[in-house]
Amino acid sequence: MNGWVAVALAAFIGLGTTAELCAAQSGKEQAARAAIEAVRRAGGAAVRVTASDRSERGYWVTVDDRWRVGLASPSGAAVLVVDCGFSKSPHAAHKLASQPTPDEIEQAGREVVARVFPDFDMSEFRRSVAEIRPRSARVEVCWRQVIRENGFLGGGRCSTVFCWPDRAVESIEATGPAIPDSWRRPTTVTAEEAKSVALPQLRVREGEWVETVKDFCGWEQAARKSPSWNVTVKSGPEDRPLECMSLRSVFVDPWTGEIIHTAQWEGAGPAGAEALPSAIGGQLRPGRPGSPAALPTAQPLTAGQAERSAHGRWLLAAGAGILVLALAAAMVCARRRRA
Amino acid sequence: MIRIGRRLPLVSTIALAASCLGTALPAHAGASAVIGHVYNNVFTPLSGDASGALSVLVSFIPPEGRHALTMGCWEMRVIDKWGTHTTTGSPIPGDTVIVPGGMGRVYPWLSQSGPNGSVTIELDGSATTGGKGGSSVTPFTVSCSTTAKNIIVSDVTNDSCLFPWGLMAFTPASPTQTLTVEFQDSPDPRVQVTDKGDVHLRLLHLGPNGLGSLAWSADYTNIDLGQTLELSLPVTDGTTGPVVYAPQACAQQVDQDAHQWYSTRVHVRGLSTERVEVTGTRTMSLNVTHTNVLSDAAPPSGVWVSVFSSSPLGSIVDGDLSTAAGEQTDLLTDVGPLTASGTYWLAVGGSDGHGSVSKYAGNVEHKIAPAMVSFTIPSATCIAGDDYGGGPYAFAQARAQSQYESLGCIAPPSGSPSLGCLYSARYEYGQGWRGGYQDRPSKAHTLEVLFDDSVVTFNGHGGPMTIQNRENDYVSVADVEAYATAEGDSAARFVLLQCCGAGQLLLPALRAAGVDCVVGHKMSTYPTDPGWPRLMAKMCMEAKTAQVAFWETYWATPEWQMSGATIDGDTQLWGVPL
Repeated sequence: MNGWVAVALAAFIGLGTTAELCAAQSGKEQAARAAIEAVRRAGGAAVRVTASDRSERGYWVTVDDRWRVGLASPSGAAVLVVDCGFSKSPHAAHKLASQPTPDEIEQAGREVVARVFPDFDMSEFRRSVAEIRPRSARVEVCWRQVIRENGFLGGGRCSTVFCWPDRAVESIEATGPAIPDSWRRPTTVTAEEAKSVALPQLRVREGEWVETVKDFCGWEQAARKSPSWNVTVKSGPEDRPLECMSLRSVFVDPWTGEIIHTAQWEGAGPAGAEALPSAIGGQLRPGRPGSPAALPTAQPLTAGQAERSAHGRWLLAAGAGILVLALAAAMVCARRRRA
Repeated sequence: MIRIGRRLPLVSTIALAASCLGTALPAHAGASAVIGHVYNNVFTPLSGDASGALSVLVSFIPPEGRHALTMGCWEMRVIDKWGTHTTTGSPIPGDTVIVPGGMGRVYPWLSQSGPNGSVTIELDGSATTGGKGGSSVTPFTVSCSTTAKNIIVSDVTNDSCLFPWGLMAFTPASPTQTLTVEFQDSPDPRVQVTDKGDVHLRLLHLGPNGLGSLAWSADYTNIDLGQTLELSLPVTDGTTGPVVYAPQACAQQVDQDAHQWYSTRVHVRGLSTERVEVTGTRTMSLNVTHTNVLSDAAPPSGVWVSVFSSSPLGSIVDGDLSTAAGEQTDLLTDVGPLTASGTYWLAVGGSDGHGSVSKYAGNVEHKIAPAMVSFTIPSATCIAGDDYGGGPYAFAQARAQSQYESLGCIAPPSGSPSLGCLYSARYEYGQGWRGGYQDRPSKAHTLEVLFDDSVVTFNGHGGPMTIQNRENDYVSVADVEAYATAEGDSAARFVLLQCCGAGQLLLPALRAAGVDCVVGHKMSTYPTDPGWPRLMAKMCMEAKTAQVAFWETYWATPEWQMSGATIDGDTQLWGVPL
């Protein structure tokens, strides 16, 4: 009886592995096809895929040893196309006959996005940057996804750098996750209310000032990714924002008033003792491990997080149990064969 | 050493032998020769080594019962280490002197015109004698020997730290050195007359083919060269940067051994070097190619190579090279650590004369004139900005130190180890270390770095228009633009602005100032941003271009997508030639 169980288990595991392999192979081929098509739409020759790699975010495909294409998971759609050989291409030597205006750059950029990502919906994207890159004929245009109903940012990003004279693409990225209906509701927390919620966390010091803007909190460390009020402490002349530096931020949910993330930006305040990743392997420790602690960035687990965490623990236990069973069955079979 | 001519009668041979065994003047019948000098018409035999203007007295004592009518020599052969030098005449001019019981002639011999060391002089001549039976002619061959020791350059020293390698170096910190030259000479046997001559001291530029053009000289004319002469004099170099010369000394009254400080019989030509691979942090191996030009079959006793840092001045590594004739390529390993960027000198020299084949008098060795090439290590600076309130910022310090370490050993593309590279700190005389890892440098220093160094990373706080390098001394877009206007384009190849916001306006300003490639963040970023180590690892350890490394990092790092990480331009850290 135990032997039959072992065989069944082995067959189950084997079939599962084969199915996964087939699916992976199929996914890889699909990614390669999508990458080739995306590069061709961007203007590349796209003869063959020369490398590909899969990560949590999706596939990362190299085409012609020159183009890099990022394909999002699970849709498999190309969301990032980069010509890493652009600087050595003839486009790099192109000159501008005249300086395009930001509006002209944006219009051309929208055409480039439509060409490379024809299915990408830009109706809710608003221009944030449109400028000429120095010492070149390239222009850059960036958009942010803005929720029509309330003016908060969505999680979508779109940007492209391209050669103005011939619209050759150097890089282009377009991610536009669907905006849930819950994000389209009118917000219930005003900027002032968000600021008052955030201020105790921000500990504003002399010479600093606070700015509250509509934003999207997409940081990995956040309790959740969603539109939010970004209440930021800044230093520098308030009337010249470009000369100011962001020090600390608190992200406040515009519907519940809940703090979903706090952040201490680069260099803004006494450093914590958290280990730094190192470029050469291992971990780095900051030079002053005894320095005062940073602002708290970790939040208590939300109900959803706790549920996900419990679910994960159950899955882990179940997997371990199956593994133990399989090993036990295999050992019994082996002993019977020897006997 | 006495050579007995075939034509000499036995009696003459006996007399000659007697004279050469220590007899001052010939007393027996026959011909003989002796080296000495004439002063006030008196010939005095030489005592000790030969030096300066001398004479050879050839005497002929006729056999008993006969008297000398005439005598003379028609061939004089000076045999030294370089061969036989013959003078002929009919006869050779010479002054007649009275020799008791016979006749003699004095022939001049300039010992300084030949090499130092053992010298034999042979003369062929004849004498006519009269007596019973009429006149008769007696041919003879006589010889005499001595050791020549004319002036030699016995030592050339200076007080620069490259003196042990026979080189003389100046830096802005030590623009003046003292050159000391020592000459040695045997005393002139004519005691009343000292050796006079000219002495020339030189500093010569060095190149891949050895000694080059003249950089400095001092000349002394008609000075006493007798016995030991030491000349010490300060030498000031007018150049502003570090420079190295070969000190040379020579004298007019010299011989073939010691016309100059350096050997005339071995030269190094065609010196060149190339990187084989980077073998460790700021350490590499080099191929050294050189051509040994030998004027005889005997190789030099040693050929060495040494690598010197110019800023700060000092020796890095030494090694021995092949001594065989012709083009040689030798591997020089463990060249490092090359902690300073800028110019390094690779000098090749050596010594000649050691061994069983004595090339020089007294078996001494002479230095081989050095040849030299230089190579350059590119510079990098990794900056840690200040923390809130101007204090040290530990995260930025750790990041900058890590980045600087990564830049010490850049991996090459696979299969091309010689394309490995390394970056080092800048050093300037009077200012000390101006690059490498820098904590809270001033605005002036930061701007200088951004325009002079090959690679610059900034870690700390920043905004769209400013990086917070040091409190109340920040570098802004306007500062960069003004510096570019005043000083011209930046030489930087890669700048990483690991701070908030600088990707917006400072990044384009640096690109406009000529930086090849800049990476920055348009929005806020965390102190614990995981992107920069990935970027540095890809560029330093995986031989990826900035574009490839950036976009791979961007794709794999959600934090970079949130911070608006951006790149403009492209470059690579590997493959910078020496």
